[in-house]
Amino acid sequence: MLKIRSFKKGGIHPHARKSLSDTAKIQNLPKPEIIIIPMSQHLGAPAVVCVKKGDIVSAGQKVGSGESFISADVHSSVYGTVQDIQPIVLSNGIETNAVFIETDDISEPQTEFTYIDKDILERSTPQELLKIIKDAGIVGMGGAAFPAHVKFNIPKGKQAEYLVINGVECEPYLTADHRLMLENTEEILVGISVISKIIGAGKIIIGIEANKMNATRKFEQVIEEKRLPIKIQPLRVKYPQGDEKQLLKAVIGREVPSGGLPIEIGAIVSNVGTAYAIYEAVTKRKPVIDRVVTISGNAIKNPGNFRALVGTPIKVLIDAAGGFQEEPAKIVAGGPMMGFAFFNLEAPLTKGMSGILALTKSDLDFSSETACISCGKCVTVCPMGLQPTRLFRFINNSKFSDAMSLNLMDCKECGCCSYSCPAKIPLVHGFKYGKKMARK
Amino acid sequence: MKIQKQQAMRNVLKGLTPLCLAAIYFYGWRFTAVLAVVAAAGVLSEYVLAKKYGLQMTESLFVSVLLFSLSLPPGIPLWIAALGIVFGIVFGKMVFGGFGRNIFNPAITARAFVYISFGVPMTSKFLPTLPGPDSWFPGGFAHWLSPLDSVSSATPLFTKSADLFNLAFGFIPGSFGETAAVLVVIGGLYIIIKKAANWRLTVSAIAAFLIMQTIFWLAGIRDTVDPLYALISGSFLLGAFFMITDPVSASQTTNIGRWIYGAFFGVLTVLIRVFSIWPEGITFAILLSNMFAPLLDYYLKERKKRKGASA
Repeated sequence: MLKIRSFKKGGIHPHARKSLSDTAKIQNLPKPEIIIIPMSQHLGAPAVVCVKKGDIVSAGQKVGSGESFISADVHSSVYGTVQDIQPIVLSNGIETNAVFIETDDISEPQTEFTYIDKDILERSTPQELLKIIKDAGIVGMGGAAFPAHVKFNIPKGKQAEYLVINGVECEPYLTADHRLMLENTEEILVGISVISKIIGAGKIIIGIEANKMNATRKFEQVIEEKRLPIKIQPLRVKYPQGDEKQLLKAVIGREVPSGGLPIEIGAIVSNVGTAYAIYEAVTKRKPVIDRVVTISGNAIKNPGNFRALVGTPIKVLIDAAGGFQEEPAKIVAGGPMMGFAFFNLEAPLTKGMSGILALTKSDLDFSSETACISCGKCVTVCPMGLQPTRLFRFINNSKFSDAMSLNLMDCKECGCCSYSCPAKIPLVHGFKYGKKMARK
Repeated sequence: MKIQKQQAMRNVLKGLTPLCLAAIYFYGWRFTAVLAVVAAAGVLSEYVLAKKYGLQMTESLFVSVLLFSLSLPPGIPLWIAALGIVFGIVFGKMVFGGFGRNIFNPAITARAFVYISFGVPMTSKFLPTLPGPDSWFPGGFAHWLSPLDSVSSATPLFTKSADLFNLAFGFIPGSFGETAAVLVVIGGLYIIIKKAANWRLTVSAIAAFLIMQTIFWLAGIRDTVDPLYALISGSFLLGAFFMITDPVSASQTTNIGRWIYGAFFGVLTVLIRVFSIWPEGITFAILLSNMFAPLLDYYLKERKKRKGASA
């Protein structure tokens, strides 16, 4: 095993709270009565609806097609009838068109996605594999939901020296990737081989934080059995190590230039969940119609990890975890650091959503904002080396171009500054607003 | 009006408590009268202006009140103390837009004002301490004030007459709070451990001070005193632990800025002490350092690679 490493600049250690769900096996959830498939589940342009009201669709059938360069196809996750097509608001506040499908258990064919094509990897060219990934609508499953076929299409003149697989899962509460690594180790490794073949990576490293040593051992065991050219890099626990920039710094010691992409330093980063989705797409021809999601938080009766269909209303997911045992004070989609608080439990599960958390009053800090005391804590913890306190002052005074000149766009909204601010200043909210205004 | 709760400021208040007790022990209960007058005047001036401008009062006010009171000589007339804090709060803080926006440390602004305006009561009448070799206890706890009729003496920075033991434990004439170097260090370490103050500021200030003082001492310039003596006499330690670490007026956005800021203060203190007509340099050293803090914040940014630069 390699020496344990981490990134150096900034970062914080929030309470992990992973023990609520990290021993809960992934449970498959039954189909809900209604499935809501949003057209915008990824970064980039929304997909365009390609079915109409009354159509009968099968599981895995394309219902929205990603037509722009950065976009992704979306698929129905069940067999059923298109009941309605209308705009909805997602849990992250994005308004998008969605296809409502009523599930039909009776006339559903039972043979979907059971055949496993074992030697497809050997017979296919990288281009063919990339096409399969594009058709399966695969996006980054770690949360950012960047379309995978765009990422793996290496621009001319660049070379992917490293493929770094992200098994960090640094957000508190979340254990979906952890369970996936334990329970689907071999499938993830197949997915990694597919990515490696597409991008032609020389070295493959999986980064896993030290609070998941059982997953590390499981990977090492399988890698040894199969003699795969893959290394495991254990990482010291530190947030936000799951961000690709920090992960690359920790694993290969290179820094992604400001405003640039990992490929500029010869690396591609992909999440373990994405690798698993790629395995399913390539060997079973199964598009992204389900994912593993952690339902946790102290307000949830039986926190756990569930394999749920994309489009399942969040209410159904929470009921599957036993419902609320006390009144939640806040419901969050994603992790507590970077996720979005939302209130509409009818909103559907999307491809990039790794967790749903119901937090109680005692989990949260409701103290009100006070004046900045210039303590400099936000500067110390910022992993991007920004000066949150000055940025916030500029934005507060609508000086967006001044904020831009202090590299506002480098902020990736990890929340380290807001988390450590003793005056409870909503720094990240300010930066999100500032970025939006600066783009105008 | 509600007063904004600030945990960091509460920790500073706790760190200053031993010094307040020591002030009573050394100079008598009159310290509480000074404190009460300063607090009343400070609260009143902040209340009036905060109300007028729609701002909130903050707990940092009490830190300013304590720091200013501790920096006064024991015999200070009460009206001068009141005038000082009013100036400090109004012109040191509220005119800039209230807490968090002030350039100068309000306590030091107040002190500088009375120091320049009332030179005689501020510098010439340092009273001897009540406890001493003849009676260690109850010291000031049984008195209102050190006897005024006894011979008042000047600060040891002028006379260079005290020994190191008395300097370290405070048995020397001086301001209320600066005399006991040991207590200043204990309180200072407390606020550093509680992260109300950044250790880099204090360490760089003390290091720069010692280096500079040693150079002058070895070179024999203008009868410079030896570095250790200089370090623990006067209010340099109070300044290094409690005043330049005031987060608002310090340079805090980069670590390198903190090192430079602290060192700047240390060097300036020595220069003012050695070359100016003022025996005590820290008041002006702090104000000058405060002035340069925004400049340090502005020019010291993290160097970053831009897209397109060779990776």
